[in-house]
Amino acid sequence: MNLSCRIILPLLWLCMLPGMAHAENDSRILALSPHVCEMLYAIGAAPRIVGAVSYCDYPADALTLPRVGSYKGIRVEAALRLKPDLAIASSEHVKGLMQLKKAGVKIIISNPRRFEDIFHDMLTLGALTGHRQEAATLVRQQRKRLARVRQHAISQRRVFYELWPDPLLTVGKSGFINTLISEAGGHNVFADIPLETPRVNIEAVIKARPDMIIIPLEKRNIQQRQRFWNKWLGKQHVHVAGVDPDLLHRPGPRLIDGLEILQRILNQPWP
Amino acid sequence: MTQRKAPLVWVVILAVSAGFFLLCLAMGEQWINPFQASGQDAMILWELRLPRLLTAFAVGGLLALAGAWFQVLLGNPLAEPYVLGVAGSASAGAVTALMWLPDTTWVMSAGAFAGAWLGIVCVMFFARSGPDKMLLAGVVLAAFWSAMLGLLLALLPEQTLFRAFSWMMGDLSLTEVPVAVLLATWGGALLCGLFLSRALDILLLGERHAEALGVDVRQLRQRLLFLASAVTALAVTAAGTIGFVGLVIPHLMRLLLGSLHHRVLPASATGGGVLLMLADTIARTMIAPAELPVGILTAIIGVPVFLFLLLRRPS
Repeated sequence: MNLSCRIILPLLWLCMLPGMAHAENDSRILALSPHVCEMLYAIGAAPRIVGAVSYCDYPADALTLPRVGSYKGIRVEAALRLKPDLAIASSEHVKGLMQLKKAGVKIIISNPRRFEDIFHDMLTLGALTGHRQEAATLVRQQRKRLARVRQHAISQRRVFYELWPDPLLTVGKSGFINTLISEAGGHNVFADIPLETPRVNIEAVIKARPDMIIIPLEKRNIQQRQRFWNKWLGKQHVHVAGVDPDLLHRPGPRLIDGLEILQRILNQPWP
Repeated sequence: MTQRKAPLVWVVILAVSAGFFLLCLAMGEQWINPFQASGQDAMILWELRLPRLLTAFAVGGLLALAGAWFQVLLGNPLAEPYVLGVAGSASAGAVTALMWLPDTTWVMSAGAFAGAWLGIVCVMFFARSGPDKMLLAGVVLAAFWSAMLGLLLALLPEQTLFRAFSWMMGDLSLTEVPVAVLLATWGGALLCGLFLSRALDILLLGERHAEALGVDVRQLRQRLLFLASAVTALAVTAAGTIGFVGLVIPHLMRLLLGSLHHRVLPASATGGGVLLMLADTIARTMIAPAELPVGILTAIIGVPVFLFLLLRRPS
């Protein structure tokens, strides 16, 4: 018994290892969400990706991947033609996903809501693709950066996050952008609304008295928005800043960059 | 409704409208007394609330007028401003425009206006064949436009989808049509309606009676179709598709005031305006600081009132 424990089991393990590594390195993955695509690139598993969906655009290499659908659903035939054995999506409800499952493709859901979830999912992907080491290193670095941000989180600026100007949309309690704002040391003025992207009106923003307006730039003219908010909130009271939405809206490896930028903006001296 | 009671009803309607107007003006994120506002409160009152309230009033009034006209024109109590597909074609136009120029603010209004008129021109082709065929053609066209809309929405990029949806559910905060234009149209449409009201009353008796009494029924129909469609096009352009006001307000006013159009039309123009003003104020304040789509609330407020009156007056 002792002998078998000490020698035979490790031997058996050693014999199995090449087979497992083979299986891992051969996996053909469908990255069905932009953040999943970014995670796979970040841990060095990019060669495993055989197909992606629209908006999988980072890093630039990802633009050359075959597309098998969009956020609305997967084109099942196109996806199966790529002979995938693993599909990673952000929700079970993506149209066509269940058909992939029936066709024998393994399905994994990655829908991180906090940094811990992102780290967990990156480690899982590392284990699945045979890139444990890279994933572990990446997560270790990101944890350090997160700890540094948390140490400095003291700004307490009142933030209005202008997700969209017409209709005026913002982020409420249940979205992860709300978490990001508080991690960076700010206070989302609409943090009490129990919705992910509530619609508000200008009066509500005036009453909430934000001193910082953050705009995910989707081709928005920041000077124009600055003029607009200056008019309603008073020039000396408000500061408007734009942030690349891909850094804040994708729960992937670049979210930590977004968080650091957010914190820098929040800690800026008054203009 | 006897002649003697009519003036009293008018006094009540006007007083209630004025009261609601002031109430809606004062309501919002915080209560502001319209007679004592200054500084930022005044800015909120006159630049944010007043234009939106007046837009709501004009759009609601226009929809109710159009509804009353369509009900006579098509001889069908179920007719409403969108029955001939004008809302569908306007929505399809708005979404098409949004697809081409997703970052421009006025693009949906322009597209809606063009789309509405395209829809009207299509219906006009069938206007000569009589109301029944026109209604049928309109309903079929409405189905066509809604299919087109579905197709366009399937092709629309993700970021612009919620803009399209919020417009389609009715939105008074995004209007690009100047308030003065809307109010002037409201006044002009009401005057046209009053001018035609006698002919409308006669048409209600039936086509033969109308012709015997010297009404040029064909010409009247054409004018009505044009007028009602134009008014609907402008309302849809200003505020997206807001259902229910155009269907129920004219019936409500007939229940209250009888079916003579020199009463029904002004009352509808006012009542529709007040209903939409109320609905929009509730949309702004009910789950504040978040907002609800106004189209939902017109039905929630209007249906119980209407059913109550329907039960009270069985005739």
